[in-house]
Amino acid sequence: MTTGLKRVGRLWRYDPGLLLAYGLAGLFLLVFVVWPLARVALEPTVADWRQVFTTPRWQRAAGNTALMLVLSTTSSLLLGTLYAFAVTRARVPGAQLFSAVPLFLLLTPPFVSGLAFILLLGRRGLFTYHLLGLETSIYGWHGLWLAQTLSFFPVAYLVLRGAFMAADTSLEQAARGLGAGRWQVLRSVTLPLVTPALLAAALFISIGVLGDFGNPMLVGGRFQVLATAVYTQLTGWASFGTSAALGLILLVPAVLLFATQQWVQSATQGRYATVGGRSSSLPPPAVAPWLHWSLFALCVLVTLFVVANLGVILMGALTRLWGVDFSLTLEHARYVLSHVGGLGNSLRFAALASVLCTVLAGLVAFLVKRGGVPGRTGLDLATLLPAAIPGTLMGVAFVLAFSQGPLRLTGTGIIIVVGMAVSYLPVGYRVCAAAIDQLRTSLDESAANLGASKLTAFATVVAPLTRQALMAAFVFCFVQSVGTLSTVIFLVSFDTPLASVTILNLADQGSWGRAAALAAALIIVTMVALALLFLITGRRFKPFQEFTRAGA
Amino acid sequence: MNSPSSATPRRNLGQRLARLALLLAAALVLLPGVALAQGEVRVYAVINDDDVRLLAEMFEAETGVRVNYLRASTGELVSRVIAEAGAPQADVLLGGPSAQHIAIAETGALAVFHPEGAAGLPAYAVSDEGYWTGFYLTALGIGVNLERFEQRFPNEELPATWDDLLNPAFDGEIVMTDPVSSSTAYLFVQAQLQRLGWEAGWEYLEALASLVGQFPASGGAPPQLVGTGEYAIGVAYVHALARYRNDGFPVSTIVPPATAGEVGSVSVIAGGPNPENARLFVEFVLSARAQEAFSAQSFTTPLNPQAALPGGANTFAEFDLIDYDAELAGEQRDEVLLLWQQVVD
Amino acid sequence: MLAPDRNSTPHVRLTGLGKVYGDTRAVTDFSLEVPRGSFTTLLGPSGCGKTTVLRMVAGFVEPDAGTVSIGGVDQAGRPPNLRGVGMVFQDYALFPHMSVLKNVEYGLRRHRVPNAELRERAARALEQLDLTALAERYPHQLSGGQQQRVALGRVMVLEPEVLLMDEPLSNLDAKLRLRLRAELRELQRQLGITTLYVTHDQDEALSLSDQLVVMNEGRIQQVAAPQRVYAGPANRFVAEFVGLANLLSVTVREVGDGYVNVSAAGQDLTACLPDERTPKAGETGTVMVRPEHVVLSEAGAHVPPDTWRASAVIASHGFFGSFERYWLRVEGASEVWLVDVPLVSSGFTGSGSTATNELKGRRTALTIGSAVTLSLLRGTASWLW
Repeated sequence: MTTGLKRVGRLWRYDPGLLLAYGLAGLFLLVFVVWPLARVALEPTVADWRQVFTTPRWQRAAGNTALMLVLSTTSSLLLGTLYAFAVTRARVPGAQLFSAVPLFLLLTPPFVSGLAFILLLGRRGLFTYHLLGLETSIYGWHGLWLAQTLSFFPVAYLVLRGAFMAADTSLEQAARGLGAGRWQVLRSVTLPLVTPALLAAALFISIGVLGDFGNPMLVGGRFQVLATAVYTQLTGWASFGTSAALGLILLVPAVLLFATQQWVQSATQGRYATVGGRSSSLPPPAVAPWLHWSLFALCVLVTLFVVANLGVILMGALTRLWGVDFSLTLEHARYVLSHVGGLGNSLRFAALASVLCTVLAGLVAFLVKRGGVPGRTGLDLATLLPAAIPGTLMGVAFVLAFSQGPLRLTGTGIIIVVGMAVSYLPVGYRVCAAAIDQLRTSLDESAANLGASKLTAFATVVAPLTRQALMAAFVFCFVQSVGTLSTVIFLVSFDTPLASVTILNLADQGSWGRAAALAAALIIVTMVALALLFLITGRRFKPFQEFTRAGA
Repeated sequence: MNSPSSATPRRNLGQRLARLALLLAAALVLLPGVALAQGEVRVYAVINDDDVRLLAEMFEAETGVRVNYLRASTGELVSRVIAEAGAPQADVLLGGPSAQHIAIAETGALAVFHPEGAAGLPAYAVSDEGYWTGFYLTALGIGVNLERFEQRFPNEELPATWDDLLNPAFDGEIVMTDPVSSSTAYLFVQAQLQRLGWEAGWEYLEALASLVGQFPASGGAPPQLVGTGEYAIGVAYVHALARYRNDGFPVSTIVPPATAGEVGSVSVIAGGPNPENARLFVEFVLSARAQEAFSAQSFTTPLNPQAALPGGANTFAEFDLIDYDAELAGEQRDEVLLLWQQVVD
Repeated sequence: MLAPDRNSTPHVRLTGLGKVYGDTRAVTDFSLEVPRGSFTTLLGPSGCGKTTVLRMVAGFVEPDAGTVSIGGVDQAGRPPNLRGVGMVFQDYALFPHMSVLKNVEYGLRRHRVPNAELRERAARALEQLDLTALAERYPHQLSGGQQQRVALGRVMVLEPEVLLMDEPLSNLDAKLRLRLRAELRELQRQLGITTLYVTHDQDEALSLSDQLVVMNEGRIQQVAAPQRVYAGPANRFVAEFVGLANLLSVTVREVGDGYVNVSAAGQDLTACLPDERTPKAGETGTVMVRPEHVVLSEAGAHVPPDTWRASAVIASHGFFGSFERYWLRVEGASEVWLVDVPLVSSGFTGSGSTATNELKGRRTALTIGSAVTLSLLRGTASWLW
């Protein structure tokens, strides 16, 4: 403690800029992460807790949540890994094209995917009913499983693709040369090489599944999970206590998973040295023909689904009444034009949140990894904490923490921007921290040696050299923020409508055409904004490696 | 390869421009969103987006006061009004059953206001203390997707009473909202308990629950799911079903005997930023012209006796309503929901 | 402005430095005085704590115990950017996103040198190090030697009073290393800059230093001029780490002024006696002989009188260009001896043969398993302990 104070004293004397940045970052995390969580944790009364623990319904919901956690995480991981393997290692025909496909799913707000999922595969789905004449029901755990698998596999793909690309192919060739069969190479060399990436993807996905409320709400049917309960308890009966209690229960597995991953990661550190390193120029060993073509079929299937997913939204936007009257109309498009405010807000807030998130992620990563400031563990944990908080709980926490008193922020754009930034801070932080870890310490030490204060070293050396990571953090936060629903649904107000919330409202009212039109507009505008961003920065952007590194 | 040669002057300029643009955007957004408080009223609207927009446009045309509204689900806006008590952001809560307004009034978040428009209304549509006033009526009904029903049950009659829903053939084809998360569904559950008595009521609910295919969380979901043919039969408010029918979905609306109704209410939020305009707006909503226009679009039944009944809406007399005890419903809530969860799951 | 006794007080004084990482004591009770203008080298195997010491001086590592004082000023708590100490890193740590010129200007900018002066000083530094033509290149476009020069120039342009170098030559090929070693020494002499140099390469350490500090396991083993360290290693570790050493068990017969007469394997032998060591007559000890001080002869050949000798069998041999090295099993010695035989001179003194013939003859005679006689050059043995 005394050494901590001593260090602060020294900073004050020698590097007040860093102390200021440290103080600001710390204050931000205290106010916008720790305080809301503390506030929400104090909300449930003893009676609320007793009710939550004794009601069979919530016990069952907890069981269901656990089931989906296992099922969806496993299947998303499997699909994402296979897909990544197909486009990087099996080199299926059209791999270049296929490699971009899952990114479109990431650009689609989760809630919109759920909607498209029903339009396609529902009881009256375009595919199941109108094309195949099937009378299947997707409502239930199996439909939810499928929907979550498709929603979350792009995350696994994103992380694994980078890992496969970074893993040294010469090791696999060497294993082949030593007489290992194709399957043995895969099992004994390739998979161990990408293990850290698998673990990281598993964590990202499982926390996503825990917090997912869009999919269970739309396709879960009678199958209830905790995340939906958090939402419905609040929106249905204004039970802040029950809602908060259920959300806090969700926090337990999330934190456990998180801790486990951190532990495994540090325990196996250094064993997978080639991941993230320079890849070999050797081509990977060929896969068996049957596997090659099966993977190709898988890629085609996924691509068809993605195309259908986007197509059905466009189609819904341009037809009069889904399922009844498929005649073309511009009526919904006109509605969108009269609601550009929400669309503009979504973009502006997401852009601002991404700037905030990126600056904070980079700064905190630097402070923790290289800053030599006291209390780094606390800073690290506070930054990673939001990763374990389901979006809905975060929204509830923000409402509780910032509706009253001197910190009253509800109704302003600031709280939405901050909410978005905090939600995606952990991923951005991990990406930046991993990038800084890769940076030789001698670089910022030499900057210091040449007379740069820590903050200057960050601005002139560390930040420019980790710009790929900063960019990855920015784009990730932006894409996610534009479509986010759970965190911001309670935060929008009169002057701060958001497109995603309006889409939910429209869908809730049954105005599917308008919902689809607004969703399509949101997706298109997001793509255009990203394209502009890349055009302006003019840098070749390589998010895969950054995300892989964050995992490894 | 990160070729450092990419850092050409042109790019640096581009980056600077991008930075400038971001700063500009930041400045734009961070300018506080303080609209002119003068000449404005802020409305939390539970009713449909189109309907609140209709009322807003009429009101603006009449008074010149701008209506700024936020549309969301009942529960969400009720939560907001309660959470914001002391520093409210909105002036008026428009729509939602009287039971919810009563619940908010108990927290002290509503202002006392006795509008002139309340004069001609029935007693059940006016708060004694002046916290809320009813402006429309709707009732629970059964929606049937005719297309799906024909196809699935060519030999069955359309359900006409609540008891008809217990036909075992309908297994998995009924959709109703979850009372734990929706006030609409709780109204239905209470209606059955009050209609049949406690014992028989639970027997009925238990039998029905076993046939229900899905209990979505939102009251807006059943009409939608029935309208699009995801389910054949749904329990919902009749006006919501009527809207789908009017949009062209093959939906038939049935109002069974012994149903329960909802008084859609409006209230002034205590300490809102524009109290004068809030009262002005509430008076407007209660006026015959507003209710006529509103009912014509929303298919609800106007409460103002001077308002003409629009085509497509149900007259109030059509409803065979039970003598619903809202007070009892409020008292029993926790007990009923606990039992319900044991019955359903 | 000059401190009194500016030249007599050490420029850098390290007192009782200690650093512990987890369970390992990286540096223990490390005290050293670095005279102004001197070239002091920390030599030791990897992991001996030498780099940690350097980093404590630079301010990257905070000592757990002891003090670092530079120019008489205690540096405790002072961050690296305010120590006025230049450092060249093992990996050079050039900023990959900046051109050579920008790298060189970096420190000047940090010190807020006015633009005109900054440009001039940078240009001068580039010219001095023959880098002017490369000013617009980026580090990855430079050869290892060029990168090394940029790393040095980037520091020298700031005209630091103390220069720290952490194995600056270890990433270069052998020939370049030799050339840069000479350049480095020349530059340091010219500028008179106090230099603290870290290396694990004994040749580098011996050829560069004014003062050599041998370290092992976090502790100082010996501090002395290179010649002294080589001739009179303080202990077995130094003897074996700095150069190669053959050890001989002896019994002390008589102690003289700077020498000691001992008896080894029944023969008399005189060994140098480094300072501070005072063996007593009758006690047993160890004497060291460097490989180049041993003469090999054919078994039974004539050896000058009063020369210590022993019979040995060749266990192995290897060709090293300018000399040939033999591994010998020596009668009465438990450890294998090393003997270096220079190839140009008459290293192998077979009886009566010429150099050319010796070479030929030895090839046939001195194969593995051959019996030889070895003798020690007079006055080359050193008393160890």
